[in-house]
Amino acid sequence: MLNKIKAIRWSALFTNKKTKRMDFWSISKVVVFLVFLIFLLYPFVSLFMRSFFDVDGNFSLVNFETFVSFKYYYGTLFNSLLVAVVTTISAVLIGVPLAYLTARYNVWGKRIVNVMIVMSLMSPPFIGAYSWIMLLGRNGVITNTLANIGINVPSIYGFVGIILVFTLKLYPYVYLYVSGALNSIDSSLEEAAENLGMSKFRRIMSVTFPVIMPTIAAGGIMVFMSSLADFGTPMLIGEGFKVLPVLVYEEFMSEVGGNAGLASALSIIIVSFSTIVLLFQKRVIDKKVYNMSSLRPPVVTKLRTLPRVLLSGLTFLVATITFLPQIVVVVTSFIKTKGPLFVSGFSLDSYRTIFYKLGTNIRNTFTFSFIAIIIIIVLGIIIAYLITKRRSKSSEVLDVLVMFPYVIPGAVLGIGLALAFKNPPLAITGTPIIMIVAYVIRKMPYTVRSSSAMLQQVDQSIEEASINLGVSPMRSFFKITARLMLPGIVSGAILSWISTINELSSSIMLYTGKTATISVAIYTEVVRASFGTAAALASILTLATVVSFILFHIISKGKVSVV
Amino acid sequence: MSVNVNIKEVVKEYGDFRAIDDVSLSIKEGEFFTLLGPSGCGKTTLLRMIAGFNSIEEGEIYFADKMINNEAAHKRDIGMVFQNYAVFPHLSVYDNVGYGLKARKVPKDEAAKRIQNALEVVQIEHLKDRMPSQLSGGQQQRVALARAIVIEPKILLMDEPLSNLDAKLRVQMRTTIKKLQRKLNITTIYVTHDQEEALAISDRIAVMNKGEVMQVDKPNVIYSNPSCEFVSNFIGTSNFLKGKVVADNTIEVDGYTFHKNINATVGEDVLVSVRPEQFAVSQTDEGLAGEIVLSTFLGDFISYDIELANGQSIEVNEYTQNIDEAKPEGPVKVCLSAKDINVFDAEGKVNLNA
Ligand SMILES: Nc1ncnc2c1ncn2[C@@H]1O[C@H](COP(=O)(O)OP(=O)(O)OP(=O)(O)O)[C@@H](O)[C@H]1O
Ligand SMILES: [Mg+2]
Repeated sequence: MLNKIKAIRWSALFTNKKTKRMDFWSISKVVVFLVFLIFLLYPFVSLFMRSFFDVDGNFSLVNFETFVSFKYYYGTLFNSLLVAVVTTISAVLIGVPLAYLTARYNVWGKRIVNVMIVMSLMSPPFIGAYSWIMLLGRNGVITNTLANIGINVPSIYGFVGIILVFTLKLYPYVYLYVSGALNSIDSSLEEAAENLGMSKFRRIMSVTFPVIMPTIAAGGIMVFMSSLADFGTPMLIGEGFKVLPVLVYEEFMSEVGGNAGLASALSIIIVSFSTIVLLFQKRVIDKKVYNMSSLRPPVVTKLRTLPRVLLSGLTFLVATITFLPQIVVVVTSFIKTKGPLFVSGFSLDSYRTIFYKLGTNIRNTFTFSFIAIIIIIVLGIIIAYLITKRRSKSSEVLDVLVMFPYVIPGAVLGIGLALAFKNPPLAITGTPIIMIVAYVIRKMPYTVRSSSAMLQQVDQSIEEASINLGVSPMRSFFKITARLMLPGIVSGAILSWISTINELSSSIMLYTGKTATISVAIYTEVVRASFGTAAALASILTLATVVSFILFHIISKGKVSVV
Repeated sequence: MSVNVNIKEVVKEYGDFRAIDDVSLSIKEGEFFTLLGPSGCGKTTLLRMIAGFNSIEEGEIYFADKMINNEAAHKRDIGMVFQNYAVFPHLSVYDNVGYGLKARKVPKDEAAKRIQNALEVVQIEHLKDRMPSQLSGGQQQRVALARAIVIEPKILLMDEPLSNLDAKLRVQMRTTIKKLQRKLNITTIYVTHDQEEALAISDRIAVMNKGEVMQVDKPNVIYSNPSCEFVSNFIGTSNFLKGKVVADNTIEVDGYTFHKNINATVGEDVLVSVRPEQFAVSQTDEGLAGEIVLSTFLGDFISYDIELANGQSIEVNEYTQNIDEAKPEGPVKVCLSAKDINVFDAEGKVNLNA
C-alpha cells in the first residue's frame, strides 16, 4: 500500500516535470528577466554601491556626508522639493477647475482645448523653457515690447520661471485624470445628493469632490514626480536656482572635480524620494480610486449666452497659453537670424543650417527611436502577456520591474548605464546601443500598460479555443490574442515613440558627438544661444510628434488614455 | 471515429487545495456523458484536464488505449465548446468554423464542403458572412458548436454551453445538441449544474461534489436510486426523516413504523429519503402526524406544505387525477410508499436499500 502511494507520488513528480518543459512563454520569461537584470538592475545596483565608495575606491559614507554638510549640495534637495510642491499645487489649482468647466458646462471648442492640452503634454520637455525665454527672457519679445512703453517685467529666470514652465507643462496630467473621473461619475450619484436637498456648492463639496479626490491625488503625484525628475527645464531657465537633477548632471559631467561617487549618491537620494511618493500612491491612493463606469453620463449644464462666452473665453485662454510654446517654436524657426540674434524678416536659413550641420542628430533620433520601438513592441507584448495572463510570483516581480523606470529619473538611469557599461565585457557606453537600451527600458511602460489593458479584455478562452482547434500555443497567441490586442499595442507603441523622440534627460548623460540626438542638439544649441537652429530642430520634433499623435488618435479611437 | 475515455484516479491540486480528488470515470464510445454538480465542485477543472489546459498532478487519462497526460492540448484532437462560446471576434462566422480545418491543412474545396455541412447542421447557413458582433447569444453558441464539430473530433467537450441562454432557447438548443450528438455519434462530455438539463440530455451522468464523484449512472437510476444523501438532495426534491431500524426490515420514524427491505441491523439509526410524490395524505389513522400549513394547486398535482409533530416541514405532492379537491388546512396523517423510497445510513453516505 505504502509502496503504491510512493509509486504514484514518483510518477506524479515525473509527469509534472515533463508537462512543465520549456515552452515558448518560459523561454520568453527568462529572456525578459535577463534584459531587466542586465540593463536595469545591474546598473542601478552598481550605482547604489558606488555611492558608498570614495574617490579612491574605499568604502565610506563620504558622499552622503558631503551632501549633508554643504549647503551647495543639500540646498538643491530643498530647491527640488520646493519646486515639486509648488508646481503640484499650482497644477491642481489650474487642472481641476479647468476639468470641471469642460466636463460640466457647455463651453465651446472642448475638443480643440483638449487637443491643445494633450499636445503640450506630449511636446519636448524643454521647449517650454525655451519659448518662455523667447517671450519673457532678457531679450524676450514681450519683455522688449513692454520695456519700450516703460514697464519692467520681473526676471523669468530662476524659481519663478521653473514654476511657470513646469505648471503649464504638467497641469495637463491633473486635467486629463480629473476629466476622466468627472465624466465617469454616474449622474444618479449627484442627483441623489440633490434629492437630499443639498445646494449645488455643498453637493460639489460633499459628493463630487470626495469621489474625484483620489484621482486628483493621482494626477498630482504624476506632476510631483515629473517635476522632481525633470532636468531640461531647470537647466535652461533655472540659472542660479539649482535643483538636484541639474547638480547630478554637473557632478557627473564636469571635467574637473567631476565625481561619479557623489553623482551616484545624489541619484540615490532622488530615487528614494520618488520611490517614497510612488509607494504612498500604491498603498494609500490607489486603494481609494473608485472605478466607476457611468451608466448615465453626468449632466452638462447649459449656460446662457453671456456666461457661456466668458467661460469659453477663459478655457480657451488657458489652453492657448499652454500651447503657446509650440507656436513660438515654430514661428521663431522661420525668423531670420544673425548669429545668436533674431532679425526681422522670415527665412529658411535655420532649416538649411540644421540639415547641413545637424543632419546626423536628426538621423540619430529617428534611427535610435525606431530600433528602440521595435524592441519595445516585441518585449512589451510578451511582458504584457506574462503579467496579465500568466499570474505568478515571477510575473508580479516583472510587473514591478517594468514600472520601476517611472521612479528613476532619466538622468539617473543615464548615469547608471554609462558607468555600468564603461568597461568590457559589455563596453557599450558611447555607442548607439546604450542610447537604444536607455530608451527601451525607460519608454517601455507605455506600451506594456496599454497592451495589457487591452489584453485584459481578451478572454483567455478565445486563445484556448484556437489551441483546442489544433494550433500550437505560440501560434495561437500571435494569430488570435496578439491580433486582438493590436490596437492597444499600436497605441502604446506610438506613445512610447513620441516620448522616445523627445527624450532628453537620459540622452544627455549618454551621448557622444556621434550619437547626439535632436533633443541633445536643441539643448546644446540653446546653451550656445543659437536660438534659430534650436527652434528649427524643435519644430521638426513637434511636427513628428503631431503626426504621431494624429495616428495615435485614429488607431486608439479614444480608447487608450495618454496618461 | 469516436473513442472511449478512461480517467484513472486523477488528481488536480491548486496549492494545497485538491480541486479534483482521485476521480475515476470510464466513458463509452459515442456516449453522451454529463458531469453534474454544484458550482465550484470541479467540473470545469476536470474538463480542462481532459482538454489539456490543466496539468494532471496524479493519475492518467486515456483516449482509447492511449495515455494522453503529456500530449499537448493542440494535438489532442478534441472539439470543445466553451461556456462563453469564445468565438473569434475578428473572424466571420465562416472563417470561425473553418479555423480548425485550416490548422489541419484540409484542402480548400473539401474544407468548403465540410464548413457548409456544419453550418447547415446547426442551422446558421444564412449567417455565414456575418461577424460575431452581429450575432445573438444563441447564434454564437451555434457557431461555437459548428466550429467544434467540423473538425470531426474524437471527443466533444462542452462546458455549460447553454447557461447564457434564456430558458426557452435553452430547452430548444439542448434538443438540437442531443440530436446532433446522436447523428454524429461523437463521444461527448457535457458539463452542467442544471439537474433537469442533465437528466434530459444524458446517456449517463456523473454527479460530483467537492472534487469527488458521488455516483455514475443512467438518469433514471440516479433519480430513483441515489447513492447518498447528497445526490438525493441535488437531483430533484427529497424530504429527509430521521428513523431507526426497530426490527428486521422495519423502520420507525417518529412513532410511525413501516416495512422496507434494507441492509441494516436492528437498532441502527437511518436517514429516510422521500420524494414529495412518494408521500400521500393518509386515508386511515396510520402515518406521521402533521398539519397542513399550506396547499398549492399546481395543475397536475397539489403540493402540500406539512409541518410534522417534531416541527420539521415536508413537501407532499398528490396527483390531481386521484383526488377531487385539496384537503383543508389542519391536522392530517401522512403515509409513504415504502417500496419506492431510499434509506441511507445515519450519515447519509451509503444507500441501504436491499
Ligand atoms: N486557477 C485556480 N486556482 C485556484 N483555485 C482554482 C482555480 N480554478 C479553479 N479553482 C477552484 O477549484 C474549484 C473547482 O472549480 P471549477 O471551476 O472546476 O468549478 P465548476 O464545477 O466548474 O463550477 P461552476 O459551475 O461554477 O463553473 C473551485 O473551488 C475553484 O475555486
Ligand atoms: Mg465551470
